[in-house]
Amino acid sequence: MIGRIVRLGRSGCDVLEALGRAGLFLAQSSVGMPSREGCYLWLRQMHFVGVLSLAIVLVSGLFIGMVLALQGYTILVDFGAEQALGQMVALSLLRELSPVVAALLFAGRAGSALTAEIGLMKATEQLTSMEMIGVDPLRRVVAPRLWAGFVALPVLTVGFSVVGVYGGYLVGVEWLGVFEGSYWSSMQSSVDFLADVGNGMVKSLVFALVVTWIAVFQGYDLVPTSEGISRATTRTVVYSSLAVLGLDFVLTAVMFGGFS
Amino acid sequence: MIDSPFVEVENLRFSRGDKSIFDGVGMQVPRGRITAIMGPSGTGKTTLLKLIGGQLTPDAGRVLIAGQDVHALSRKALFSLRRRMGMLFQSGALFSDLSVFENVAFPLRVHTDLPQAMIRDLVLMKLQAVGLRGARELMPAELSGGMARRVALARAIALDPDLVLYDEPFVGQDPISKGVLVQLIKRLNEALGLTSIVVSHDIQETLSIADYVYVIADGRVMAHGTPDSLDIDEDPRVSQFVHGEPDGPVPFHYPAPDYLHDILNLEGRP
Amino acid sequence: MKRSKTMELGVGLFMLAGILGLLFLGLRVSGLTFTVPDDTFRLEANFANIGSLKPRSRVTMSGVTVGRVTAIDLDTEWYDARVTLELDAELEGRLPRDTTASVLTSGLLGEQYIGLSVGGDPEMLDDGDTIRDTQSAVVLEELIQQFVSSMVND
Repeated sequence: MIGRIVRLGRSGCDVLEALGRAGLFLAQSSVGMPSREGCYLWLRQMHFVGVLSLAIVLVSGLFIGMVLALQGYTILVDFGAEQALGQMVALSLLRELSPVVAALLFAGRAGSALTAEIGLMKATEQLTSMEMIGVDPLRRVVAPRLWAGFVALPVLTVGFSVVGVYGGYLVGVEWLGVFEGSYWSSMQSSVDFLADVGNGMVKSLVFALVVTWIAVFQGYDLVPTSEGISRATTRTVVYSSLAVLGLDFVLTAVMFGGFS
Repeated sequence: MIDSPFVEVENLRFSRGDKSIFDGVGMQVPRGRITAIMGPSGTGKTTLLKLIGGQLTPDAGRVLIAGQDVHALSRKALFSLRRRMGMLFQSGALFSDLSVFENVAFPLRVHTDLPQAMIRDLVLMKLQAVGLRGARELMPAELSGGMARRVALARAIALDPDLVLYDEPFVGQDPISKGVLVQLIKRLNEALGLTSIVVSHDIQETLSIADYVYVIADGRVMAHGTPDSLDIDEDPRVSQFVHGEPDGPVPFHYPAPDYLHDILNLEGRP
Repeated sequence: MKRSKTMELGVGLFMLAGILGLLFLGLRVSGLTFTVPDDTFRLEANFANIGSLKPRSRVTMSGVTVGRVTAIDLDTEWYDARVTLELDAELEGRLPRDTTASVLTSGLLGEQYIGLSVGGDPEMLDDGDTIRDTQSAVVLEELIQQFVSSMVND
């Protein structure tokens, strides 16, 4: 019995220690003035995590918008309220689906790649040799990736929303024959820029920080073997997905749950 | 001939988990010489280099480089001290996203404001010294192991450091590359007046270039002296190592229960 | 370090697309307009019941949107809802004093909005005036109750 309590205490200490290390890691790598070189490194990572993730995010957004319109129509038409389709599509996209689905896709597409890349750099001693050359790998390797993820995901989320709304328009208006004017006007009268678009962006920023942080930290902290890298990559996807979904509930409760 | 040691290691203790790796190691590395640290695999030679380079912090003891206590320095001071050190890693550790040229230019670019043309000249000089000027456009993935290590050597000396740490420079090399690396280390040491620390378990190659040798095993210094004096040392462990005998005081077997006992499986183990 | 123009261009376009997307979400999806506040004027109207009217609901006249609801408060003197409307400036001084404001519903279950219909008073409403003549929202339960009681009376 005592032994179990001791083990519980020890694992608690381990969790706290890991959190502390991750926090310190975030603080050390994200604070500081970027140099010219740093800007260029950031640009390169933006290309990798942002531009190259655009295709998968936009295609998913289009399909999700189309599915939303199709499902929404079949339900709304029972109440004779298919005019509210635009409102339904836009609100579900802006408030929930865009930030969450874009973050999940981002974790799978870019997060796992970041972990594997940094992990491989660690395994081949590139990070150590950088340190020995007198360059802080936190600043040189981690910081550009962290900032690129933080900027890229909100942009991807915007793209997801835009394409999703358009996908809903394609299915709802062009195919199912909802009146075009009511598709847009029900949307415009119910969507509030700050409350819906703004809160969606806040969610997206939070997810961006958490997913990128988890990805780079897992890469930096892994055991430098091939098994360690594969485990860390899996952990990145699992932890970031859970963190995104869990934080989404908390943020939704705070933003839309009527606590204000 | 030990005048003004450049690196001093004093009573160093280090343990990883419950396992003690160093238990009071002390050594002095003379300026401008090649000092070899030898010992069987798994005695923590690489760990010792990491302790000297300040990447790991010892449990007790000090490492002084040019009079500065490495582990008492601030992060910033440590990084500026490292500009005076080069390190050659076992795997080469070239940056896989940069070409050979850019790899060698990397330390110059981050630590100096030299104009592009001068960086080019310096990089070509260093590459010429290791004989790979023609390979400058290649990516690290296209190099053989020996070439990668030579590029890494060029990068380690790019800033003309005072101290170069070599981590197992000969491991996994064919005889030709081994010979090339031995020559390079020796020549660079003489030409640039470097202080070199070579960690290795390749006895012949190391002894042929080292000015002074430390043998470590079981977490402490077992013997030290010039290569000539080392052979005649009385310590059985050292002579086992130097002569490459498979079994002796350094056991061939990993600690295990009695063989007969184990094979009859009297204790019902898996 | 080799700089790739196409990559820089790609990232630039990516960021630009993000900004344009945000603009689309602002203008087309949430219906923001860049109207200067001077282009509107304010009226107030008290309703006994506003149903599910919300700030930012439309204000229409003959079906044409002419403004929005900016605020809804409880008038603690009369215990009814005080709704603040923001209307296009071109209507300033052109709405008669006996203009009626009613809370209407678009469709059976749609959003609620305010419909204005003009009267014949020669005096006009000015900025900050209150519309006296209002019709509350139709509450479905009340409607059914009226219907049932009228059936019983017949």
